[in-house]
This record gives sequence, structure tokens and C-alpha cells, in this order.
Amino acid sequence: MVGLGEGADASRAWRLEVRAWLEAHVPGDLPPLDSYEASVGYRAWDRRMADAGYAAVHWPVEHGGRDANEVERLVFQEEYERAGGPPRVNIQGLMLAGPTLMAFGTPHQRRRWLPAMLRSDEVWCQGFSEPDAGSDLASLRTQAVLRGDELVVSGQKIWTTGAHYSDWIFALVRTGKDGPKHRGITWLMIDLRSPGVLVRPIMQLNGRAEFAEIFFDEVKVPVDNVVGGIGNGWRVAMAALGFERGVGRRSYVQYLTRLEYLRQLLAATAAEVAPAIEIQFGEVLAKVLTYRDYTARVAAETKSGSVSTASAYNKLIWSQIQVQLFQLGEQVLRATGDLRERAATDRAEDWMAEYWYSRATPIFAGTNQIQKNIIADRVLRLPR
Amino acid sequence: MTDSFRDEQIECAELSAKVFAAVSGAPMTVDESDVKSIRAELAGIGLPLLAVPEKQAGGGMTEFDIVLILEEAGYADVPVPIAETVGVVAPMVARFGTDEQRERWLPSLASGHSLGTTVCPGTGFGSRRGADLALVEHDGRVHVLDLSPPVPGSLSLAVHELVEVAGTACLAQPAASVAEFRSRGAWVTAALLNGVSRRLFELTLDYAGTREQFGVAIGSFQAVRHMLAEMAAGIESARPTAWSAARALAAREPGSDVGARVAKAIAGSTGALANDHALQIHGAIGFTMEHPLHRWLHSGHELESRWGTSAEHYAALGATAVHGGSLVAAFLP
Repeated sequence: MVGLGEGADASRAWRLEVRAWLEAHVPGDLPPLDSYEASVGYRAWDRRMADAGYAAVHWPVEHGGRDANEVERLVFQEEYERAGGPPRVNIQGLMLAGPTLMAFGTPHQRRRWLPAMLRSDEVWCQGFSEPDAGSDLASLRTQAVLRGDELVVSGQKIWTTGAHYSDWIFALVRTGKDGPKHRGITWLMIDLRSPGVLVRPIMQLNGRAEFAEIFFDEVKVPVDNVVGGIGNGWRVAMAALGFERGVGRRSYVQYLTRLEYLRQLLAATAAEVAPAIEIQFGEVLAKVLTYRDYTARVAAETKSGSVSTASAYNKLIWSQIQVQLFQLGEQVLRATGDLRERAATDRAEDWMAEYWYSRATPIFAGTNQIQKNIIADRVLRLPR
Repeated sequence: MTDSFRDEQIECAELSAKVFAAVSGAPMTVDESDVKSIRAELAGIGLPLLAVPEKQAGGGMTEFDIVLILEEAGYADVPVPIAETVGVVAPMVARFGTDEQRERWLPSLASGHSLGTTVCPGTGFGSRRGADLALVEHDGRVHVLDLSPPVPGSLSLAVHELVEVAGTACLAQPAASVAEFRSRGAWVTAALLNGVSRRLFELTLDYAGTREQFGVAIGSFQAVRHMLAEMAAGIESARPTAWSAARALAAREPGSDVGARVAKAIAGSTGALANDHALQIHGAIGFTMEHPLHRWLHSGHELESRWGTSAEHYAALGATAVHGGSLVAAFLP
């Protein structure tokens, strides 16, 4: 916990250290992260971060992290966004799979996967959702049948971010059919190079392919790749989602930077800025600063091992800001003349692709309706 | 980067909350002699001069130290303007008052003989019950209105009429005092309103857990659960903006006016959401004077406009930002 005195100075020192290193090392333009080939530059960047001890600052020192508390982690993220660091290619590994291995993996499993994960020599994706198991995750049907010392996997995962440039997937599979549906689920690490795996990128409505679907046809996976025991996957998955609960993964800085970009567009245009745009601009600025204060609050309240309950609101809050920010930008780009029918400038097209992406944020990573259910159950403890 | 509150700051707010709860009966049952004893009780725990420097016989606390106390005043619906006194009037008089004004008012506020309130531009008096001192901005200055003895009909007077009747004295440093007055006014109102919203939320959460329809508690219906989740998310993210504004004021940061605007804008829009959802979930019983909910519906609704609506603050923030300099330079640590 950072106090008012020396703690604030310590976090300032950490900020300046991170800032200096990032300013010297953040790579210039990398290609859009949409294929295995494109991921090479991102992997190299992660290796460089790992060598300097910055790849996963929230990890324990023994695994190559910095043991950063929530405040320090948020400071790192603010600085990363300030420096314009590229998207992290192995985010699912570093945020979900890694901490899960630390909590539930055998010593052998940790040695096998953690070092390569930290350096993005092996990039991971998350195999939870299925065509018939979205919000109702426990209905998943991808089957794993035990044959000797192997599990044979058949079925389909979908909406998997980055599967087409990943090496491994951590998947929830069904190993038992009796009893309640959340029993009989197992957490399994699957090498995407295994025979019988087919990855197909999904073209999204914003013209990009960030998600993919994955087909498993009799894929043989060593039973040693089970994490947390057969049939124990639901418990492991819930704990894993708990690791994701803090506020250190995203900061207000990326939103403020976008807002500054819009301000510069408006400053450069000859057209008068409409009052409606000014008001909307002021509202988005207020909300971005609210997100700054909210994340700082949650980080400060989070003590080791016990995340502040106020973190439950995080996804609702940032997804709403993200949508509103990109809506504002669309209006700005219309005002500057960038966004015209059939004659949009490149920057307007890029912005609109991001606008449409923002429309996915209330859906992915647990829809905002599911978020409200979780808040009602776990924070407000309302009757069910 | 916000730090969390220290134990003594939380304890201080809890102590104040206890006293606030004890003095905050239904407003219609509070008469003039009650107001006198309420003032004395609040003075008894040293509240009025809490944020006045020690060398002026105050408590020496910062804005950040007292922000939770302001929230508690809204939460309890204290019938006198103690939040305005603690957060605006006493520190303003201490900082910008003439020697004569300080001697006239600070001891009287400290002892509970006086209370201060504010008249904010365009929206008239805030809560003024029991107040005999009011600060008002007029013609580029902060005027000090002496309302003892009470000015008849003062509620209905326009600002310039009030100033004619009772406010020939002004605070020093016109530009600085006006700027600080506006920031403090917006910030205190934001904190008060967040406290009101928190109370609306808690009353509604309790009600949803006990009121039954179709044989079950209405809090088990998804429509109701989602409304409560929205209230909680809004309130728990609005509160830290007022805390952050408090820190900026305490540090005398040049951007503290922006922080206060953001706090009031967000408290206002969150307060409106809480007000809507609270009444809707209570249903008809919430629309009566017999149920206590109306107190916070009324006070919250009034606070939404006091010291500027959300729309006014968004417009001002937007105009400044669009025509100003780099946002990155202004708002990155």
C-alpha cells in the first residue's frame, strides 16, 4: 500500500524509471497485428521487455516479474500508453495463463511454460467461448476423452482473440457429462501445432480479423497438460478470471491521447467548431478524467491478495467511455471533412475501424449485462 | 495518483456521520430552537473551522482531509449548511477576509453562533437554514453578506438586491477569491451530492431486498438488479473525482478549477441517474411524503443544479479544452 509520504515518492521514482526506459526503447511503427508474420516484431519487443524485467511487472520476481503492486502496475500501464507502446501480443498469456499456472500448475508445468510465455517465444490465446456457450460459459461442449495418457479433443472454440498468431491455447474442455454442467470441465493446455487443429480468422464488421474460430478434430493432448486436475476446470477458470479483476491493464492515458488527437484535428480545421461538439468533447474529457481517478482509487485500495470490490465496475465504465470517445471522434472527422461518403481519408477510415471495434467492447470479456449480474451477486449481494 | 484515505481521515468522517445522523431529523420537524442546538452540536466537535489554518485557530485540515465529511453531510441530509461552512465559507474568510471580517466571523463560526452559506450564480441560495453569513459573487468580487438580523424576504431577492441590502463588504484579492469561490462551491456541492446519491442507493438496495412481488423480493428481478448495478458503478466512480478535486485544491494546483468542474459534472449526471432509479425501484411509495426517500430525492435534485448543471460544466470544459493547449501536457502525470 502506498501511503501519502514516502510511498508517493517511491511510485514517482518507479514512474520515472519506466518512462526513461520506454522512451529509449519503444519500437517505431509495427505492422497491424493480424497474422503470424506480423507478430514477429511484437514478439521481439516482448523479448526486449522481458530482458529488462518489464514484460510482466505484476509477476513475482522469481518468475521474471517485478512483484509490482496494483498502484505500481497502473503506473507502468500509464507510462506504457504515454510512450505509445504497441499492443501486447501475449496479453492473454501474461494476464491469465501465467498467474493460473503459478496458482494451480505443477513445478514441471511452470518450468515448461512460464519462461517462454514471459518472452513471448510462445504466444497464448484463451479458449473459453463456443458457438453455444457465450455468456452461459458452463454449457461448453468441446469434448476431451481420456485414452491412455492422452486426452483426445474434439469440438470448436470461437471469438478467440489472436488465435491466428498464437502458439498455444488454454482451453476449457468437457471431460464429464454427469451432474451439474460446471462440473466435468477441465482446464487444458493445447499446442496449436497439434495435428487436427484448424484456425480460421473471422472477418469482423470493422474490416479487421482480430478474432478467430478454432476447430479440434481428434486432437491428442498429453494428460500432463491438464492444469488443476481433471474435472476441476471451473474452479480454475473462476480463479483465473479473478486474476484479471484489477485495474492495471488499461489506463486513462490511451483515451486522453486519443482526445488530444481530436483536439489537434479541430485546431487545424478552418471550420467553426459546433457547440454540440464542444459539449460532447467536455463530457468525454470529464469521463476520461473520472476513469483516471477511479482506477487510481481502486489501485490504492487494493492490498496484496485482496482486490478492491470497486474493481467490479471497471469494465462497465471503460467500455462506455470507449464507445463515447469514438462517437465523438466520428463527429469531429465529419466536421473536418475527413469523413465523407465514398471519399473518406485514411485517418477517417482508421478511426471508423476503431469506432466499430469500440462497439465490441460492451460485448467481449463478459457482456456488460453479465457484468451487472456479477455486481448484483457478488458486490450488492442481492437475492437471486 | 490518488492515495487511499488514512485511518484518521476515515475515523473523522465516521464521527461526523454519527453527529450528522443525530441532528438530521425530518426537516419539517426542525424548528428555530433546534437549529440553534444543531449549530452548537456541530461546533462541539470542532467542525466549522476544520479546514482553517491552525494559526487562525482552525483545525488545520486540508480539503482532502474533509471531503469524506462533506459526503456524510449529504448522506445524512443535515438541515443546516455545515458543508458550505466547512468547505467554502470558513476557509474563504480565513484566506481572503480582512482582519475585521475574520474577527467578526471566525470566532462566531467556531463557537456555533454563526453558520455560513453560499449564493451561487444563477441558482440562488443553497441550503441557508441557520446561516447568518453568506458569500456571493457579484460584479467580479466575492461579497460578504451579513444576514444577522435576518433580511426579510431574502430568499426571493436577486443577487444585486441582496448585495444592496446586506453586502457592502468584499473579500480581498478579487480575481483569486472569485476563482477559488467557484472551485470550492462546485467541489463542495459535488461531494454533498455524492453523499446524497450514496444514501439514495442504500435506501433502494434495502428496499429491493425486502419488498416482495410475485412472491419474491423485487431485487431478484434482473431489470431491478441491473439498475442497482448501474447506480453502484456510477456512484463509486463519481466519488473519487471529488476526492481528486479536493487534493488539487489542497495542493493549490493551477488546474483545480478543472477538477472541481469535472467533479460537479460527474456528480450531477450520476446524481440524476441515482434519483431516477431510486424513485423507479421504490415505485409509488417513493412518491409520498410519508416515506423518507423524498428527502434525498429533493435534496439531490436541487444539488444537481446548484453551482452549475452537468451540461453547463461539460460545455465549459469542452470550450476550454477545444480552444486550449495540449491535453497531454495538462493531464498526464
